[in-house]
Amino acid sequence: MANVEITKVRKCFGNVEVLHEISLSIQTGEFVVLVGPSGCGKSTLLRMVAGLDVPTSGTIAIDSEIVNSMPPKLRGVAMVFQNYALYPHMTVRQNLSFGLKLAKVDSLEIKKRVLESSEILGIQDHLDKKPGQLSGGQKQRVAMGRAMVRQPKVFLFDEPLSNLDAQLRVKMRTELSLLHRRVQATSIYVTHDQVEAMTLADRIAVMYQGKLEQVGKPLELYQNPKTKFVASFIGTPSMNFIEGEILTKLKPPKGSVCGGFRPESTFLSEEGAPAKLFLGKGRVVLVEPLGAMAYVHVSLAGQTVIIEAKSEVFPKNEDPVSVWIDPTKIFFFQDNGNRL
Amino acid sequence: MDKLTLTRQNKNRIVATLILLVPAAIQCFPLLYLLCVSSKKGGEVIQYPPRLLPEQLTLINYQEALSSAPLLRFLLNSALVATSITFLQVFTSVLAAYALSRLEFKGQRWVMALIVGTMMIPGEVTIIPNYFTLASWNWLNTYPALILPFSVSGFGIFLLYQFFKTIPKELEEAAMLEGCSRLRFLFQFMVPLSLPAITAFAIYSFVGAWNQYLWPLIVTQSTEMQTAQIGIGMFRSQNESMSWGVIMAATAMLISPTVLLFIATQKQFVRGITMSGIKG
Repeated sequence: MANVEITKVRKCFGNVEVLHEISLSIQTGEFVVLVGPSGCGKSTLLRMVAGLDVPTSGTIAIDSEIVNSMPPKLRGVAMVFQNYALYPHMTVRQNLSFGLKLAKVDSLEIKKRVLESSEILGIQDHLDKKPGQLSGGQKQRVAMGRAMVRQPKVFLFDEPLSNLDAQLRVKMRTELSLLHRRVQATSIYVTHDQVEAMTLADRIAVMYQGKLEQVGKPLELYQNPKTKFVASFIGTPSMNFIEGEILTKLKPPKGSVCGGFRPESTFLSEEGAPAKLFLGKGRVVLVEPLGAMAYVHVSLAGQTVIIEAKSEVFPKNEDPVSVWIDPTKIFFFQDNGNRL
Repeated sequence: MDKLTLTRQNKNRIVATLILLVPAAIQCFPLLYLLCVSSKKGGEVIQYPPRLLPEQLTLINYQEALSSAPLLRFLLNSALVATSITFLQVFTSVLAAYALSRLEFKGQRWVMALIVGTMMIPGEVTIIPNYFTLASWNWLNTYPALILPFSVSGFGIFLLYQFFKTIPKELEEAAMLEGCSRLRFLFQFMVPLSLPAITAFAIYSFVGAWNQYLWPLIVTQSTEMQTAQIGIGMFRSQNESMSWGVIMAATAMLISPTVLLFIATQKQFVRGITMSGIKG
């Protein structure tokens, strides 16, 4: 196991700078998730750690050794790809042992490691099958097994669950979390799914437009977002934002601001919570019932606000409603997106 | 509903089969005629009105063909030349297609355009310069003269380039992370995974090399070096009095390797052509 130190890394493709001086320190055994929308540069950063791309400037160090010009095979990293990248003409056993054979590991040791990892991942009955005969979940396990058998310093995951169906994704996410707790390997995981990020990560690094927006523990990011983007990206449904005049009793900020509040801090009545602030009257445009609660979309002064309603009776479409918010749970952001 | 769909599907299939049978029959008729004539006795070939099927099957024409010309030598030469050309074309195409589809280098597009451009030039254009080059090296009437000018194929490179492009890049990256070199990846991954396309090209290349006529005619002078196609021509011109049955028997023997090769590998051939998205 090793730490990873990314220092002021930039990456340009032609004249386009896709990563702007990224610095990130990952401790030994830590599970860090790089999360952000498509095209934010998270996969590029991961590929540079793997050695599949070269940074334009800056340094990447693994186990305190700068690896910028080191070929991928010498970096001691293993990567799990989005499309699994299993060798289709080889059996599962051959897929798992290929890297070890190239590294000239003793054949008995190869057998031992393949058996161990296949037992951990529950694929021991499929060792003589080819990838084409496996289900999506099994393929994903083989891809993880191929990374595990090499006992790398760092595990890299590039959106490994995004090809799976919703149910299997949740299952594999849990298995991955348990696996990390068992193996305690340094891991960098790329995803655009913030639920995956929140549930798996020791720390999350939120990226946007080639920059690191915020790095922190999952709940820290949720409760204390430093930018409007992080506030909007972390949390499902997304945070509500309202632009306009701010009423009394609150600390009045200077200049134009945007107020953000989460659906669970927004209410359809004044009852039940202390010190609620009346936001205005609106009309229900959509109700998404989820059983014990529902997400109620309310059109209010030309904007749509989502409210997490916990009630036995939910409002119906077109119902007129009053919207209240908890003033202690409001986040204010400047025009440049930074939090006040 | 299912039954209805199935019936309609079956009908469509029958109609399509019937339509395809017409060109298939036109294509196969000369071959069938060749086999029939080669199995007829001397006078029967020229009898009027002509008959397609022989009155009595005979192998006498085959025996006479084998005894009157060095057919086995021609076949051996053709086999050696066609196999060598096929091997060289596959080998050079695999290397070039990999470089063009996977490596990044300056002028890559231009090189590709140049290779595709060679497909537009008729082979006859290069005959004279190639002949003079080989003559200046004293290579005329040798196996290298028959083989080397055809060691690279623009079509082969283009076909395999198209196929290699379809193999996910992540596969190579995963292998590279495990310590696999490019050359090992090429021969341990790309080649086995592209086997349908490689097989299709190999058959195409072999048949093309086997059927070559003009070039072997120009660069070979002795019977020892001549190939099957030249053999048939020579057979005809040197044996004016020889019956058509014997000529057809010789032809049947000389074309049989390519026909058998195609029959044995037609599934792979069709799969390779359709998977690479190139239809010739």
